Amino acid sequence: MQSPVGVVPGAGVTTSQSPPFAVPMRYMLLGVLGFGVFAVDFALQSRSLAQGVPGAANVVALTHALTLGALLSFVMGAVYQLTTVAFLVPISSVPAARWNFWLYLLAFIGLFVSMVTWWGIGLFVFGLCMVAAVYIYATVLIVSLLRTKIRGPMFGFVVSAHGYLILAVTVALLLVLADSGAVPGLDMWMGPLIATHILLAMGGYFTFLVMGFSLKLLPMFTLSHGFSTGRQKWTLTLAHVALWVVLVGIWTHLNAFLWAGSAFGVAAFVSQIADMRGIIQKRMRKRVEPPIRAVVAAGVGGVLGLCLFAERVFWTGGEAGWQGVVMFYLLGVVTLTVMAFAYKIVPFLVWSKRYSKTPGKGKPTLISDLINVNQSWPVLTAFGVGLVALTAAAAGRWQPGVIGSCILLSLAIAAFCVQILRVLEVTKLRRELFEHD
Amino acid sequence: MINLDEVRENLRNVYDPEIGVNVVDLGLIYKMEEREEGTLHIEMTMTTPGCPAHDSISSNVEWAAAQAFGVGMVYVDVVWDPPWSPEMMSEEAQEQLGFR
Repeated sequence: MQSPVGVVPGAGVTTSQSPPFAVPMRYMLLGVLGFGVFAVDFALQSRSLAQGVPGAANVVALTHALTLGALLSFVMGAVYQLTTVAFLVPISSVPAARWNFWLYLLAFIGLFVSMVTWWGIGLFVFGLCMVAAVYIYATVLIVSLLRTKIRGPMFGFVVSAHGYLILAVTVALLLVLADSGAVPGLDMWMGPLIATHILLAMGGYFTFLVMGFSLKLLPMFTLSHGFSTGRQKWTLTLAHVALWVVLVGIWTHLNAFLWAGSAFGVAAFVSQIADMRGIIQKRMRKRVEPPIRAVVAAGVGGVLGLCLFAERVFWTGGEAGWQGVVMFYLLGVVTLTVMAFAYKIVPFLVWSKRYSKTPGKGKPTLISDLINVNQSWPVLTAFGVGLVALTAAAAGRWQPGVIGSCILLSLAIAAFCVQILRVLEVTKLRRELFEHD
Repeated sequence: MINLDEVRENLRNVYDPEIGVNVVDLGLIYKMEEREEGTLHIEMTMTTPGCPAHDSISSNVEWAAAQAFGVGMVYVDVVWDPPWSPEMMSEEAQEQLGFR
């Protein structure tokens, strides 16, 4: 790359591929606020969770506060930014990404309220809005990715993730139709449909996405070079096989498929952990920061979560048992990874917007001036301890333990929100999000 | 005639935002030459290909170099061969990042 001098002092970073700051940041801010809402609601609902009735309206609303309000929202913003860095392509339609935020926001608020009150019309109307918003997001991303020349396992993970997301929300639409009675006979498939929706969203979209982007982000944040990539394609294949075998198990009610699927899933995570180990061994930064350790711990969480899944197939724990498995995987694998990477991604994005201006005399503002990443250690540790305690207490049906663990997890997530919001400096952010971009 | 020492000093004000070390001490600047009167060619690298701070660092290098006396034009080439390695860092930077 060769370029003549032509820098406008004070102009900040002008990247040719990155979307305007407000596009990813609006989604990420909503995600951080979503984490806050989830933290409060999780503490408030701890008694309901202890009773183990996952189909209750308040528990369904709570779950979607995490999946849609916090995780998907944050991840959409991060993906809009990371895709341009990882695949060196611009977003296929920045206006669609920008305006879709408002549709997504409306859909999420409406759907959350409808779930809390179990309002049929609201579920249908806002559910349709949510499906449309997610379709738009996934389409924008897939079209962007198809234009990249960078192919390989990471590409496979990220494209597959968005394919599974489209399938997950399509199944969600069927669930709404089944619940409303609009399609006669569909309600008899409610159980497999719910399981399919959870599998596609959690095991399909979120898992494939965090696995794929980890292959880019871990080397980037550890300055790793020369690590082996030969295993990555097998990880991708194993993850696909695991998902489809479990899906067959769900629809045939044959436990053998569920066990086989979980075994393939364990193999995929073991392969991913081996890759992460290789990346960390070849790192050029001596210190392994707490968020990087947390991402590896989340990989181990994947193995444990799938072992728990296989064990639950044996166990007649009913819905409460499955609630424990889903909660462990959602929090221990997906949420932990997203929180950990947020400690690295958000400060970089803020730095790029505010402090990447051409240098003057003296040391400029660096990312370490925005956040001391070591402060993430107690938060991530408390989160991990809370999750293990919650899983153990739920398995032992010890209600005070469940309530206490939920509160510890809530405090950890709330602390995460406060730390990230301090990096964002909301007063500055308000102006930046609404300036013409 | 460009004073390359002055350019080098100016480049010490350009930092990798993630690592917190300037580009000179990080060993990212491979070559600086005045091929024609007032025209400076800089060959540099990044710590990792696909570095998200790539644009920021290279444009800041251009700007900082252009502030030196006698510099009329700056060309920055970002190259990947030879790839950057920690041995390219100054002793101070190696110490700061725990390599010594």
